[in-house]
Amino acid sequence: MAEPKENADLRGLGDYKYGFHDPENYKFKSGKGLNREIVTTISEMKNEPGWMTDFRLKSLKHFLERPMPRWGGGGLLDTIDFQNIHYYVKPSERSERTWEDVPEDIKKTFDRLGIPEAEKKYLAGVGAQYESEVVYHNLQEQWTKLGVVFLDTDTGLKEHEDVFKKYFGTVIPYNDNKFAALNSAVWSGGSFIYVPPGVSVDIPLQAYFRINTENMGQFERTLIVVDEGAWVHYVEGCTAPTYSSDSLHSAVVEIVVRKGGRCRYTTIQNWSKNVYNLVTKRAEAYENATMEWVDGNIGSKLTMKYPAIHLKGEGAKGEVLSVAFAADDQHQDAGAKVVHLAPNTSSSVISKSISKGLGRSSYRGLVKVAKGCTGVKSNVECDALLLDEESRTDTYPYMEIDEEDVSISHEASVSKISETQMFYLMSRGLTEEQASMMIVNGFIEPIVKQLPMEYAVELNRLIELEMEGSVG
Amino acid sequence: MAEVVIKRKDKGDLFDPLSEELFNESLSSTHSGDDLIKWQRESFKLAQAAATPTNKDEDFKYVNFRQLKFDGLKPVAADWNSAKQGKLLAVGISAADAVPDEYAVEQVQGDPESHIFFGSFDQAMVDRKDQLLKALDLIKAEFPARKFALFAHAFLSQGAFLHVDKNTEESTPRQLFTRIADSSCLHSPATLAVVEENARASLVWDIDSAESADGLLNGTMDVIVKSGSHLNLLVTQHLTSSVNSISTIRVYLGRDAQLEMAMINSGGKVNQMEIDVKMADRGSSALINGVYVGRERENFNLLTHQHHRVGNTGSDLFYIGTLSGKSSSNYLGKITIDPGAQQSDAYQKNRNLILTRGCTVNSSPKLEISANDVRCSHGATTAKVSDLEMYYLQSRAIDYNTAKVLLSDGFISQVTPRIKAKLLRDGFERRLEALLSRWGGR
Repeated sequence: MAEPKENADLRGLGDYKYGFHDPENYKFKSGKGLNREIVTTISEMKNEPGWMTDFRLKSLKHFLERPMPRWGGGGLLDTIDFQNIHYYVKPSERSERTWEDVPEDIKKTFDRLGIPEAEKKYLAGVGAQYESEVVYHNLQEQWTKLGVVFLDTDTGLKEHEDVFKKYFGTVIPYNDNKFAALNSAVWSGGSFIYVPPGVSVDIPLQAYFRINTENMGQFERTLIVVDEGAWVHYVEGCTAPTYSSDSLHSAVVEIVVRKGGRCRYTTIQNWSKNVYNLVTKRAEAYENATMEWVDGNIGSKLTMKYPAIHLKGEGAKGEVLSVAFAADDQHQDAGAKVVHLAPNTSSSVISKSISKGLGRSSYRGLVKVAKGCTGVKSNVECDALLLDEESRTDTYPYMEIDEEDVSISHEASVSKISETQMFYLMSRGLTEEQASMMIVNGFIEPIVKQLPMEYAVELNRLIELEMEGSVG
Repeated sequence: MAEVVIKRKDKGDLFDPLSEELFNESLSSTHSGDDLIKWQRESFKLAQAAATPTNKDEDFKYVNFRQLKFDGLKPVAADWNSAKQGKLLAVGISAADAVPDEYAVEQVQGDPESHIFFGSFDQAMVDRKDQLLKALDLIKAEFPARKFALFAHAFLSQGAFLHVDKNTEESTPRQLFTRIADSSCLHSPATLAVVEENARASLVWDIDSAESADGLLNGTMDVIVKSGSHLNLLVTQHLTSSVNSISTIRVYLGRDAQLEMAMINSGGKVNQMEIDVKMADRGSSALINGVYVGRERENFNLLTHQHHRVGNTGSDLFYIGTLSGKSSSNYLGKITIDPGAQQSDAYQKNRNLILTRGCTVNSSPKLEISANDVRCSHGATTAKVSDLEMYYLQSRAIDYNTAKVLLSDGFISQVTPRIKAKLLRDGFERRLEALLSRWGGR
C-alpha cells in the first residue's frame, strides 16, 4: 500500500463538501413524531382546500396500517425511527421571486451551492427548497409569456387548482406503497410544472433540494404535466449536512406526458450519508410521447428509487439511464420499472453501478407487457463495476410478459477494473489513481454524456471525489 | 396401508392439511427402520417450523401457489420394482422391465458392481446405514430449510440411495423411473446420491404419469459429489395435465467435483422444479442445461440457484423453453458469489419462445455478487417466432404450422450440443425426440 499523498491541491478532497449546516431560524418547526395533529396542522398552515386535508388524513391512515416492505434495502428500512423525525419545518414566510428577498442565511447556503449563479448562466427557471418549503422560485419571463407554469407545488395548488386536482395522485395513488402514503400525508414543497401544447422549453428548469436541520424529513411532491407536442427538461439536485443521526427524504414525483410530448427528468442525488432516500417516481406517457429518466445516485445512506414509466399510448417510448455509486456503508437500491400498456411501445434501460469498499449497489427493475400490447420492444442492460474485494453488487430484474408478439431482452455483467487496461494506462505515465478514475469515467460515459454539460462535469467530479484514496 | 385423506382446514396455509395426526398415521403404515423414522420425524418438525413460501419472498415471487393444494390427497408408500440387475428401480408400473423404450439407457458391460450400492432406503439401512445417515445430515446442514422438501422427507413414499465408492468408474447409469398411475395421491419420493472421492457415475430420473392419474408428486433428489468426482444427472418429466409436481434437486460439490446435469420439463398442471447447486470447495463446477415445453394450461415454476461459496469455481446454466396454448413459465434464477469467492466464473441464461397468443412468461435472473475478481453474466430473452424465418420457410413451400414446429423444435434443440457427456446427450436427445414427435403438429 502506498502512503497517502501529500498533495496540497488534493487536501480536503474526498470529504463531503456539502456537509455544512446553518443555524436554525425557523418560522415553524413541528415536534418530532407523526400523528393526525401534525398532518392537520400542515394542511391548516398551508390554508388548503378540504379535499386535500382529507387526502392527507386518508394517506396517513394507510401509512400507519401498511407494513414495511419485506424486500430491498438489506434490512436498513427497519432501522428508520419514524417518531424521531421532524415532519414539517417552515424556514420562511413565502416563496420569493428574487434572491434578494430570500432570508440572508438561507440565501448564503444556496450561494455556496452555486444555484443563483447557475440560474443566470444556463437555466430557464429555478426552484429552491429548504427543509419543507420552497424559498425561491422563478421562471424567466419569456417562458411565462408562452404559458409555461413553473411554481412550487403549494402555490400550484392555490393558483391552478383545476389542473392540479385533475392530475394529482392519479399517477401515484396515495396507497401505492408505504412511502408514497407517507409523502401523501405530509407532503410540502416540490415543483408544479405545466407546459402548454407545442411549447418546447429548450433550456432546463431546475429545482434544488436542501435539508439543513437534524432528524428532518423532507417530503416534496412534484407534478409535471407536459401537454401535447410539448417538451421540457427538468433537473433536480439534492444535498444535506452531515449529522450523526439520520434524516429522511421521501418524495413523490408524478409526470404526465401527453400525446407527442417529451419530458426528460434528470436527478443528481448527492444527499449526505445520513439520509434515507425513499422516493417514488412515475411517469405516464401517452400516444407517441417520450419519457426519459436520467438518474444519478451518489449520496445517501440508503436509496430505494425505481423511476417508472407507464407507456399508455401507442408508439410511446420510455428510457431510463441510471448510474449509482455506492461507497462504504452505502446501499444504492435503484433501478427502473417500465410497464407497456399499449401496442408498439418501446423501452430501454441502461444501468451502471459502481461499488467501492463495503458499498452495495443493487439494480432492481421491472419490465411488464400487458395482454394485447403487440409489437413491444424492450432492452435492459445492467453493468456493475466492483472496485474492492469487499464490495457487493446485486441484480434483481423482473420480466412479466403476457403477450406473444414482443421482443424482450435483459443482459447484465459484473466486472472489476481490468488489469490490462490499468497496465496500459500506467505504461503511458498515468498514476494508478488517475488510471482507475479514467476507467470509471469511461464506464459511466454513456450516461454522463446525456447530462447537461455542467451536470456532466459535476457528476464526474463527484465520482472522482468518492474514488479519492480508493487505490494505492 | 390404511387410507388417510388430507383435509385442509378452512382457508389457511397451503401446508395446513399436512397435520401431525396425518403424519403419524402415514408413518405407522411404512416399514422403515427406527433411524429412518427418527429422520422422518425430525423432517416433519423442521417442515412445520420452516417459513411458508409466499409471493412476497424474493425467491418465490412468481411461483404460482394458487393451484397447488394438499387437501383431498392420500399419502402413498410403495416399494420399488427392481430390474436390469438392480440398475433400474421403478415405481407405479407392474414390472420394472415395462419401462417404455424411450427411457432406455445404454448398458455398458464389465462395470465393477460391488463398488456401487443402488437400492431402497430400507435396503440401505441394512447395507449402508452409516453412509446414508451421514449424507442425510450433510444435506440438512448445508441447504436452506425448504418446506416442500422437508415435507417430502416426512411423508416419504419411497427412498432410493445411490452410493458410489471411492475410485470407482461406473459407465452404466443407474436409473429411477416414477410413474404416477393412481388418483388423488401424494407421492413423496426421495433420492440421495453420494459419489465418493475420485469416482464417476451417472444417474437418471424419469417421471411420467398415466392419463387417468391426478394428485401431487412432491419429490427430492439430493446429491453429494466429493472431491475429484464427476456425476452426470438426467432428470426428465412427462406429466399429464391433471398432475401437480414439485421437485427439489440439491447438489453439493466438493473440491474439484463436477456436475453435469440435463433436464426436460413437460406437462403437469403446476410443475415446479427447484435446483440448488452449491460449489462448496475450490475447483468445483456445474454445467446445467434444461428445456421446458409448455402446452395447454401448463404452468412451470422454475427456480435455480448457483451458489459459489468459494473461489475458483464455475457454473454455467442454460434453461430455455417454448410455450404454446395458455401455458406459462415463471423462471426465478439466482447466482450468489460469496465474499472472498474470487475467480469464480458464473453464467446464467433463460430464453423463452412464445408460440401462440395467450401465454405468460415471467423471468427474473438475479445476481448477488460479493467478490470483485469474478466473471459473471446473465441474460434473459422473450420473443415470438421470427417473422423473417417463418417467411423464409413458407417461401420454400413449408406450410405455416410445420414451419412453426420446425422453428420451435430448432429453438429447443440448441440445448443439445451444450451437453458434453455423450451418455447424457444421447439420453437427453432420445427423450426430447420422443416428446416432440408425440406432440408434432402443435
